[in-house]
Amino acid sequence: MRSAGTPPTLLRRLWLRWELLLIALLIGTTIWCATLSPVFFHLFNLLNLPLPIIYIGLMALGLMPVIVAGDIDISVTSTLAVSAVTCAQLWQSGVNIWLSVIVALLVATALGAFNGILCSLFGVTSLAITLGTMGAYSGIAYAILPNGAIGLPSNFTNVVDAYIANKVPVGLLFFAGCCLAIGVLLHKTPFGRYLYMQGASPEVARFTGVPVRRTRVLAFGLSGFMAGLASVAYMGYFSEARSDIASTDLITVITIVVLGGIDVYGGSGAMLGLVLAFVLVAEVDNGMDLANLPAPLEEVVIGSILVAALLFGRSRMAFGRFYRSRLLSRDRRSGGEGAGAIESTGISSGPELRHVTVND
Amino acid sequence: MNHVSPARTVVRGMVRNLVLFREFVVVLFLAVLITTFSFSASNFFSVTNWQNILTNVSIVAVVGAGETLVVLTRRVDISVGSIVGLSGYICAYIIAHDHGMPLVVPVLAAMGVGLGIGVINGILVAVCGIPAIIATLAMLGIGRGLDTVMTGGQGIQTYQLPNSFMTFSSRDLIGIPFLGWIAIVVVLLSTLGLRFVRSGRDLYAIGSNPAAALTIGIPVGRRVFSAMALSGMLAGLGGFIYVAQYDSVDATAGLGFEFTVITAVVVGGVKFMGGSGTTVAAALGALLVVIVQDGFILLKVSEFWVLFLDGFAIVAAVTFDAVVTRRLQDSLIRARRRGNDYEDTLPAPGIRQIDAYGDGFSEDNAAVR
Repeated sequence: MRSAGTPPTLLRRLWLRWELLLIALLIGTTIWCATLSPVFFHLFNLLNLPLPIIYIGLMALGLMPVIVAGDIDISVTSTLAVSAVTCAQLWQSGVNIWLSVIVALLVATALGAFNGILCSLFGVTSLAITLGTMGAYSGIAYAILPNGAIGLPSNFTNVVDAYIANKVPVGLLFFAGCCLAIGVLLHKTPFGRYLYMQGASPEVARFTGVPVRRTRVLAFGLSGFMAGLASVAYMGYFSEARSDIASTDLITVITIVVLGGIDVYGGSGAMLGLVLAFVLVAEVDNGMDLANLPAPLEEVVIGSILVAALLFGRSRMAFGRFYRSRLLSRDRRSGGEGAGAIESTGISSGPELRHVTVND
Repeated sequence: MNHVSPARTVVRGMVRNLVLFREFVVVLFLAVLITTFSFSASNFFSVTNWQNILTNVSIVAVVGAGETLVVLTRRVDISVGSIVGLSGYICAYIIAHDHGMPLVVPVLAAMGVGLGIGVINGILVAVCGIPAIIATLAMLGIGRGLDTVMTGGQGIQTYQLPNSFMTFSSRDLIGIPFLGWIAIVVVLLSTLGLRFVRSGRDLYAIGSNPAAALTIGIPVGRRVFSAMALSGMLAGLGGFIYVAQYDSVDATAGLGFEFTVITAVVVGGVKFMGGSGTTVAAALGALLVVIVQDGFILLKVSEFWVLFLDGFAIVAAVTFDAVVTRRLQDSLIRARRRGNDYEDTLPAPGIRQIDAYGDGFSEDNAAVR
């Protein structure tokens, strides 16, 4: 029997690291993909593999701060559609393409901020608000461009879909830059800490002096802005804009966020996990193309991954609770000084722990 | 202590009850809409149009009744669109492959498929503690994917269905189409269940205050599970109604239908934060939503404006509800401060416990449910 003071075993620590699990899964899918096609390991394929879903990754990047803050924004895909058709229609009516892009980004940011303002002004749950604006925004997208598609000019697609040194796609570099920027924002700035505090406990955050309303509006605005950037990435890659683009991609966006280990109840999650989850989903996407599986099946697979990630996340939490209670009961048997052991598990002692101690 | 005359209290109570009677606002809206459309669209009051409206309402009302059960417990089920599509396809498949089959079998099959998906939803939400929006979103994607794979891009066409089945949907009883009767039975049964059956009352308790419901011994998990399973089953019945109504099913059947249903439920006055509302109200909301769609078609307004209006209606209803709740709570608190005997004041829907955002009425701001 282990004495109470020793740190948890390697296995237990691995179990507690979400990112390690993701890396294991990544290795698994990489092997699967490699068996499917000999070209998988070509540098060209590896660098281009995430390109078709870069726009989904950008939306997930925008959604992450919102979910960390304990909110949710399910209107991102509709925001993307509005932003794309705004840009395309402006360009078609004779406006400079880059000016149209800037206007589209502003529109997307405004739509996102509008969600945040409604939520914080009236204290309504963000689920209700963004569920409504999800429909309303796609209605707007259809109103702007009722039917058909608008092709984007080559001087735009050539820039967005370009390659540096004929190898590295600009889209990938841009995505990496965005990950870095939002990672720094979340992990290194006061704003980021506010988001985590708010997600962990809105009451405590408010009583600590966190500007809860402003933080909320900013997070939603950022989510809208990222959806705008996603629309630019989409138009650059597919070189067209329609009013129903990305309408079925919400599930993939949320899968990336959840698979990235970001707690759907808010308050925890790191950028590294999101990036790994993005690469994983991109590989699965690519692998299913290589395996010639029918496209609708992809939705089933992504949905199953989402469910599996959620279930595993919950079971991990349950394991944490179980492990804590085990330590505690052992502590009781050996008569005291268990606090050190509990601290050393790396799992913070929750309220139920204190409760048990008092009862004892 | 202030003295308020009994007569005045009664009158004030009546006015307050009328205003608070959630269905009142919906009926008012309905009256305005019907008046507007009857003036602007000449064929709005034709018998065929009204039979059409009633048939269209029945599917929204049936699926909305199930959705109401879920929304009452502060959760939401957005997988209903896929359930309608999937169960509709399986139902049509059975009818098309055995013309002599009694109608009970495909109906039960459709409800069984819905119940199956509903049970998975229930396990994910009630047993595993996953937020309902994310669990049902996953099932929405899985269901739609399966539906597309199974239909293989063609589905069941009208010519494959027997004539006896086609005449079934157009039959009516005292002027109300048969499908309308299904909806009436479902709505009445669910309303009675919510009103008089203990487990139905429990749903309101869970939605009003989950922690308190758990404390007083309500089996929250079991009730939530049943609500999600029933919602799935009723969506399955909705799949049968879909087939009976359109006489054909393809991979796009019920696409985006969850949005219509949630709009109907929320517009009908079922509180999105749970704990208040009835399935009759949801059916009224369904009538409202369908009449708007119908009127827009008659007036030749683009159907995409319906999408916009539905979304706008959700935002407006939820915001309105939040503002009214806040007013009520404020008046309750003022009444208490004045030292009034607040027993006669209406119980506010959900007395706030922690004012997390300083906005006075966020009793629970956890968005993800």
